[in-house]
Amino acid sequence: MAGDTLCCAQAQHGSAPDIQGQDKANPTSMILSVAMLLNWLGEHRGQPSCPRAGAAIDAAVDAVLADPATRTADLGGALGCRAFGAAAAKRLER
Amino acid sequence: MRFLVLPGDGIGPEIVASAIDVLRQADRTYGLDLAFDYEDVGFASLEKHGTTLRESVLEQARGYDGIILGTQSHADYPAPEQGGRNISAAFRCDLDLYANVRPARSRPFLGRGAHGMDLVIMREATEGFYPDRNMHQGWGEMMPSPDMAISVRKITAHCSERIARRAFELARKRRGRVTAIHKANSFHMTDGLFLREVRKVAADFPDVVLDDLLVDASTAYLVRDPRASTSSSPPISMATSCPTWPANCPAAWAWPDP
Repeated sequence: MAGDTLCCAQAQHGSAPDIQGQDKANPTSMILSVAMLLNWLGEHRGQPSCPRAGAAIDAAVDAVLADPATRTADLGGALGCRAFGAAAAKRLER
Repeated sequence: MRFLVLPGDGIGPEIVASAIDVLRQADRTYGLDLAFDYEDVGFASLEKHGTTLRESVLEQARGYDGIILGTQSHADYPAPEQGGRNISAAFRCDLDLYANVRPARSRPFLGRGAHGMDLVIMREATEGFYPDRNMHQGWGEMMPSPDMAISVRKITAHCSERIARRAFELARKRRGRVTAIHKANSFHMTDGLFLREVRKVAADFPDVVLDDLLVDASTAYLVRDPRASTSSSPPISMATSCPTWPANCPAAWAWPDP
């Protein structure tokens, strides 16, 4: 959610208490939301490295989702929430 | 840049932790100079402080470059008088975070869902039917008798104008197209006002194509032809605030996308 001077990254889904604490959640929405926050900062605060990082996160998530071996259980994969985040982070390494 | 991190309830702490892992690596690669401060909200805060959201956290949030908010189990919170404050609503209203920007893009390689969808729903989040945010004082619904409930919906020119403007600005960077979603055939004044403001904004964006759809038709198009709801290519949609999508709620969506 965004205003004129502030931006808040927020996943657009619910809190899924039935799988809470089991490392089963798919963090895609939250990760893409922080990428949107970086894009917003690039636009509103003129931070040129932010949109570059935002675009790289988008691409990293797509690459992780594209590989059946790095999907979370809801998409038929075997990765947990933490490992999915780690796989996306790994793709951002230079 | 300093971010305030609020993990929240349910899977919130887990998905936020993964997102922070990604941000920390992005920081190392792109030199973003990020720092993170954490505060409790939701049940963790209720246990420690007697409220799901302290006023001080909301005030503190104003001083950050960005906020990262996990999920909330607010349907399970106690009544507001017992400390169960709706966190999202408080952030939207008190910090005026009026634009819910909701991208929806299908990934064909996942082999599920509608193919070819690539749109952004821009949803106004500070008025409409929400009883907790459409009144200066009081609550936007009432019960004259145990078997009758009445809801009040507020639409303003100001909030319609600004969500429309954000949608057109975004459309310009995408495919140059906005669809306003509404129910003006029934809600003559409220959705009429919304559409009037959308059209005024459209005049400032001659390079962006505006069309509009009734909310019920829009949902059918999303299923039938997600690539192009009315004409050739995809979009941005813009909607006034509606807690539920079906009829009775006006909305506009703007769909831009390159």
